[in-house]
Amino acid sequence: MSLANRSLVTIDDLSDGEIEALFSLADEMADSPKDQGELCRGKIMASLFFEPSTRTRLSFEAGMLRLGGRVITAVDIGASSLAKGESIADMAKVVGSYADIIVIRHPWEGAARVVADYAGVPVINAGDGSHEHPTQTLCDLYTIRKERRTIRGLKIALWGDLKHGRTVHSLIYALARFGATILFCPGPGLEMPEHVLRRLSTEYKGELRKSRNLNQELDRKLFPIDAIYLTPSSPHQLAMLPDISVGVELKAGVDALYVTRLQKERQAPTTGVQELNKGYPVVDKKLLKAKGFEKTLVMHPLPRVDELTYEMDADPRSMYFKQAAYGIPVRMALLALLLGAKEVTIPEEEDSLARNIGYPIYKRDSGVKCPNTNCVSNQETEVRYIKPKFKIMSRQPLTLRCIYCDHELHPQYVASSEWHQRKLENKKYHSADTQFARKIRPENLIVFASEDEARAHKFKPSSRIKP
Amino acid sequence: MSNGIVSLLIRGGRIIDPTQGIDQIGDVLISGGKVVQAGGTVIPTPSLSIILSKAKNLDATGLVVCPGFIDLHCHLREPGFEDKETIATGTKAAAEGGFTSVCCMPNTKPPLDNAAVVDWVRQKASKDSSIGVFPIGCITKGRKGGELTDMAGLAAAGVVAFSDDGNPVASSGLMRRAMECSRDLDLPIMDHCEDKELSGDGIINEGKMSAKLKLKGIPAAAEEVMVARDLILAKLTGARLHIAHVSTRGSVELIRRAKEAGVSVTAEVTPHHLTLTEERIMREPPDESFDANAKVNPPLRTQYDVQALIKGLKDGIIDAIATDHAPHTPADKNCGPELAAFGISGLETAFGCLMNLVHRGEISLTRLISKLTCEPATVIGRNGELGTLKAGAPANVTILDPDREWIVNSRNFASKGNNTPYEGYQLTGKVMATIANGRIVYIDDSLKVDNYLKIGTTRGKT
Repeated sequence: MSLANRSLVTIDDLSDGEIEALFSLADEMADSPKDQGELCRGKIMASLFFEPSTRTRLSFEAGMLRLGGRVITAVDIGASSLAKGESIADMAKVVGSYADIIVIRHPWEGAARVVADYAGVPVINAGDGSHEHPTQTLCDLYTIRKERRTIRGLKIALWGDLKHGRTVHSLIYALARFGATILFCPGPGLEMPEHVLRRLSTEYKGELRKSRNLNQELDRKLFPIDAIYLTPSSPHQLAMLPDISVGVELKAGVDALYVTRLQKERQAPTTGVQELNKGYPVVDKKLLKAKGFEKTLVMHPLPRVDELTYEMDADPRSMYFKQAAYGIPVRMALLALLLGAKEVTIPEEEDSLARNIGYPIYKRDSGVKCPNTNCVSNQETEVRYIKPKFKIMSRQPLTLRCIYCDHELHPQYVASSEWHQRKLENKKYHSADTQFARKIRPENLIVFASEDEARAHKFKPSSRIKP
Repeated sequence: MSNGIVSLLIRGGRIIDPTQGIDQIGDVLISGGKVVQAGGTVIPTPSLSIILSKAKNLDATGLVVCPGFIDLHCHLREPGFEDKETIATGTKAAAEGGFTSVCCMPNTKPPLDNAAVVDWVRQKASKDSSIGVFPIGCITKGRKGGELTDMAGLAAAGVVAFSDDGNPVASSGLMRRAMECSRDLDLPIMDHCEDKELSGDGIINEGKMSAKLKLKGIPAAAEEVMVARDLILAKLTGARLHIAHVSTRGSVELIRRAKEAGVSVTAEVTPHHLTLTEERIMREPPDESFDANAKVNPPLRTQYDVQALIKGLKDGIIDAIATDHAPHTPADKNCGPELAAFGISGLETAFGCLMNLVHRGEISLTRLISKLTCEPATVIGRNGELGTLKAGAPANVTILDPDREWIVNSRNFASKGNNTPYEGYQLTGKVMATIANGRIVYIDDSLKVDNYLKIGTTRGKT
């Protein structure tokens, strides 16, 4: 099967089987990286970096050069095209006519999606704001799989800044898909955002337990856990015998500890960085002496600051430099696949651990906007052509999710396009949490963020809304 | 510009081509009846500038551009029933529904059971039709279930499959031999699965509505018994089996198991079985009378079946969506529940009512397009040629507006058959233009085609 012409914007763009196939190809690339020089000869990769990056950009460029292709690069573009007020769709079309594949990093969330829509060539997302960074996720998964042969049934702890790190957000969905149990160990005030946890518990088949219920069960000596996602795939005792505590399960040890740095550049300016630094948990030899960490892989997407001490570097458990080195074969395999230079056989897929939910799309022009100011659909240069679009996630409470940046919003007022058909006096809006409002079929739903907005669209309050 | 083949640049649409994994906003350029480029921005490079200088321009901003739809199952009625439909009107209706290729069933008069009639249909289609017409040949002579046709001769005459549509082969022994022949010819058997002993002279689904209206019912078992038999025979013979218009949960389950066991089987479902339930047989209150326009074989089933069909579509158990377009004259329909003919005129409403599934979030637009294009092409072994926008493939393109709202009015149908259960329905999603083999065969009034170099040439003149 060929993956030519496909783009990688989020990790969900690749199925489980396709990721497996990509990893087998990466193995091939890792075995003989110097013999791949003919695969992409004559192809050009454009790397567009609107945000500083060294590792990601260089590993993409090194990968492309090893495949025999050529590279054109634009870094720090902030000064050129953005300053002139050019939209990223225009930029995508132009660059798409220069290059055979585009790698983009951009500060706006959802920017890579727009570029992929307009470029006409495959696009690889190398990070869009704090949204997703799928190739980092591929490297992380590849590292775990290389060291442990499988991901299914492993216990993987995520450590540090879980609120802002885009790498961890992409990673947890992938881990859930591949059947890992995930432990959340955030620094104070850096807990996993609620919407990520909700998505984990609704779209994947495992079970999510929050700290409130966990605290009594847990062996406090190990390390603090905020929440835990239990995969249904492993033959672990918890699924069969709910009485056995999580603590007992954890005594068997954690398979990987994924450390992240404090994302200073994404903190809200009001919180003092000093203050956060103080309580930030540090991983060092002392911590890893605990019994549960005897065989734990210590991983880090790099760059590190203080959260991972240098004394760990020589430890056989530390994986982070290996992890960085695996970036080359994984990215080579990805480039070769998306450029159509290689075909792969997709292994037979086992039962997917993701629930395949098709959400209805909301795209009426009723004035609702994505609440995320960093979303591509809210940028001055982009609103000219991007119409906000949302997935209708749930009706109680009414929840919409932006298709560009995955942020959620909860509109308060709704109306139906069916009830008022051709009768203006019937154009009424309702409070979103009424029984009545929940019965509106998704294809007829109209949502409003506020009453003023509803009135601006010439809707009148229904009798149940108190003026 | 001779014989209507145009060079056309379709700009700024969302291109969806499941065969190439394309879903992006870009341009499609066709010329000389072939696709030249799909995706990206078409720029006048030296090799393209000659084509572009003569090309027409179609602005598809906000629209979806995909491969032309393929209908595996329709009734063009000619020869023999020209009062119901002709090849000319049927293919015109298909073009309006976004179809660029149709497979026509052999239940004509005379039936397509010998090479001469097949030749005649293909000749007639080449004159009357602007889209591709692929005849399906009979399994038995006269569709009587007695003696096999000269299947090799039919294959040589160009049939794409074999079927005795409406009169399923009752004899298992005969079916086995038919499958062995079709296997050697590498063509599929398309079977209308119905055990006539069980369906008897039933009219609607056996269940709640048949009891309420006191009409004879057709049980789900009538279909499932035959599906099971055919699957077993397909396993025995190794032939390619295609189950026509699957309508029950049980059939989906049987096909699922057969596919898991490696039987070479494909299946189709109709738009009406995906969107309507047995309750539709009764008009809206206060009228509550029998609506012959919803009388179809297999009959509309229950919500329980509809859910299973949609799930089967999502899981890949059902490969294709086919219209089972069966036009009838008002006289054939307005003669009481018992005598009214079975069938729905479905080519023109197919996409509009299927989009309801997409808007409700049941399936994705890409999957819907795949079920209407590349997957049916695979069933008749024409993948790579039909149902794709690969450069060099025949220029079969359909342009859609997924959000356009329109109201079904059968008086405006191109088909002679006005027998639609969707009359007066508001549908969201409309076919805006159809291009078959490089010719624009249908275009909505709101779309305009102008010359690519219009601005340039007028400047040149002044």
